[in-house]
Amino acid sequence: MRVLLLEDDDDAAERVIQAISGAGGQVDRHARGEDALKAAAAEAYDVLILDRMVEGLDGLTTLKRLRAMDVQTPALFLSNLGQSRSRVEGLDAGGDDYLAKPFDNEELLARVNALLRRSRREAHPDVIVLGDLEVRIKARTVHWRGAHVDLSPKEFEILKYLAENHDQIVSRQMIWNAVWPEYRIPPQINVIDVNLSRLRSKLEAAAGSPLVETVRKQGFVIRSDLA
Amino acid sequence: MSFDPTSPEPPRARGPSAFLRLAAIYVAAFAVSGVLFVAGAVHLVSSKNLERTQALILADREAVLDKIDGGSPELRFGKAMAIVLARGARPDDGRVYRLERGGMVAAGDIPAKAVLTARDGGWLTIRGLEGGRARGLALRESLGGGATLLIGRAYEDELQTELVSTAAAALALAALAALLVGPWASGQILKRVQAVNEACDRVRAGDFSARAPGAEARDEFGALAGHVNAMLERIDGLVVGLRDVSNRIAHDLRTPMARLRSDLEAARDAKDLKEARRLTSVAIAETDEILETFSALLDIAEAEAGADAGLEALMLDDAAEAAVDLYQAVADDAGVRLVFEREPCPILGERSLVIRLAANLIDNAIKFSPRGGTVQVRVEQADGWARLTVEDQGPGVPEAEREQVWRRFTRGRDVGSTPGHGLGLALVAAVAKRHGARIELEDARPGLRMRVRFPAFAPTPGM
Repeated sequence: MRVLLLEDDDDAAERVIQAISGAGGQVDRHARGEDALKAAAAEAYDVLILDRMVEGLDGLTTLKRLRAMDVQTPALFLSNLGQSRSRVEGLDAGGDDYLAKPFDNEELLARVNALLRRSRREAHPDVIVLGDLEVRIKARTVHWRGAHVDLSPKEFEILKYLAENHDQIVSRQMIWNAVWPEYRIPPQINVIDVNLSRLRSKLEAAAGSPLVETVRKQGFVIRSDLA
Repeated sequence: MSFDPTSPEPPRARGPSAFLRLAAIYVAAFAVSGVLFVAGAVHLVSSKNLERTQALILADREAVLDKIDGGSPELRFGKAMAIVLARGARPDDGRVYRLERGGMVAAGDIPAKAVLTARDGGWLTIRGLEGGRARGLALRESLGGGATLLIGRAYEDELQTELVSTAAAALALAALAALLVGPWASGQILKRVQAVNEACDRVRAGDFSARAPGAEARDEFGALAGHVNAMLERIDGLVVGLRDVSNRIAHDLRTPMARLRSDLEAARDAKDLKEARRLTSVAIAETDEILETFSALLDIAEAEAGADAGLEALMLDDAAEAAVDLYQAVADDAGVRLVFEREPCPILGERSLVIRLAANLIDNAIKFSPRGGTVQVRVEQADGWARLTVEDQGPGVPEAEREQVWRRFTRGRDVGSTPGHGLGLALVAAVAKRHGARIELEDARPGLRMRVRFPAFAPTPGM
């Protein structure tokens, strides 16, 4: 995995580099937007991680220029705490995801991995099969050992996102971005939790055991060998 | 925002007063235009005078030539001499003549020492006429036999002289008036500006209640004082609000911070690694909570600080519907019926903020609703307002506590274990303020009715 990082703060950059290289990735770091623009336009990267506020060209403008040059590399924005508006701006500029500082290294890795999977997945499969669980994407139905499990549209979206990222931990923020993309407001934790817990209890009622695991302080995961 | 009350020098006018400068420029412009006006008038008068003199001379020449016409040059010279000499007996009518022969003056009232200068059209200008008149104009006529006759007239310069002296007197008077009234008038103006400056200085020194006087006047200075006062009012509000918030933040974050600290201490002193890990995780969770509170506070600040430029036309009922959809599952889970009634209501707003406002009101209403209760969400037009109403059947808020509800960190007394950081409704208030919306709390008997009235936006046709 090759990652381009635009970050002018040395400490923050060091953290990102550690997290990515710890997972076997390689990071090219630039402190100025102009340099990042040149590098991202010239070479093929798997993911761009862009800080909003850097010297020279800022992250937002850098990505806008790249998108205008038809560089479609998935991009993750980093920004300071509590800037709801900049989150909307980031997504509008062509960003694929958004992470507020300070962040957990695990959260960063999970986001980067999700972006990678999304760009590498060539065609959307019609059915995702996880052991005895079948998620039929086109028909928007779910079956456990052939028996239909009745889910609300949002519950289905959450399960679909978990299934697409099976065996990977996804955070509440990631679920929010995937399931309620049109809202562009900060994650409404109780909305996510209610929908998630209803999904989990429905699945548990159908399967007799919990299918969605909770990973303490990190998020949720669904395994591919469900039985 | 940097505010440093200790910085040494309040801003003062460091150069000459702008009013005095303006007055000086005005007086100078007035003087120049006055002088130009007088010069124009003098030029006009003198050129008219010249034309008139020329016409008179031409008429006179006609008459004189008529009289001396015919005969030998000698005879004509004699006739001309008679005319010139007869002239001396006539009253002074401005006419002047000179008869010459062989370059010598034979007779006439243009002295030999007068200077003759040729000008366009055969005219001669005469300087040094006798009889007090300085200047004149003449034509030279040849009589044959080496004799010439100068037929001329003295200039009438009196009008010109009078004009110049009157204008000079008027200008001097005007300048005197400007010197006397100008400083007084600019002094009056300076006094009013000074009053505004003084009010600003007092605020700068820390007295946030200072206001500029004279805001009730209906002129530009009244408007200036009014604007300054409105700004000071806002600063006052912000400072008080800020102080309030900092106190509350300090108070509310002290507890989790202290807990965080003691957990970290315990982790440091833990007997084994496993226990240390557990305590560190707890500490991280506490940090997250603190960060979340900060984040909410910053959101509020951001919503309050937004510029009007970011507002766009949107439908309040659509935004409310989005929030209702979002909270449907939460309501179901709490056993609360969520009812939505709507009417198309265009407003000017920032969509994500309006959704958050509606979502926070609905979230709050669900939280305080009893199981089996109903939360009503209504969007309707009312007297030029677009009104969003969220009504629950919960315990309501006692009259005395209603103002408190919109402040940061305020939580009902009986909320017990209901989760929340007490910032949800403060965000509602901030978003409402940014949209120029009014918020109201009413008793719904039983329950609480929260109303947000946005100014209705009427899109211009063709937009």
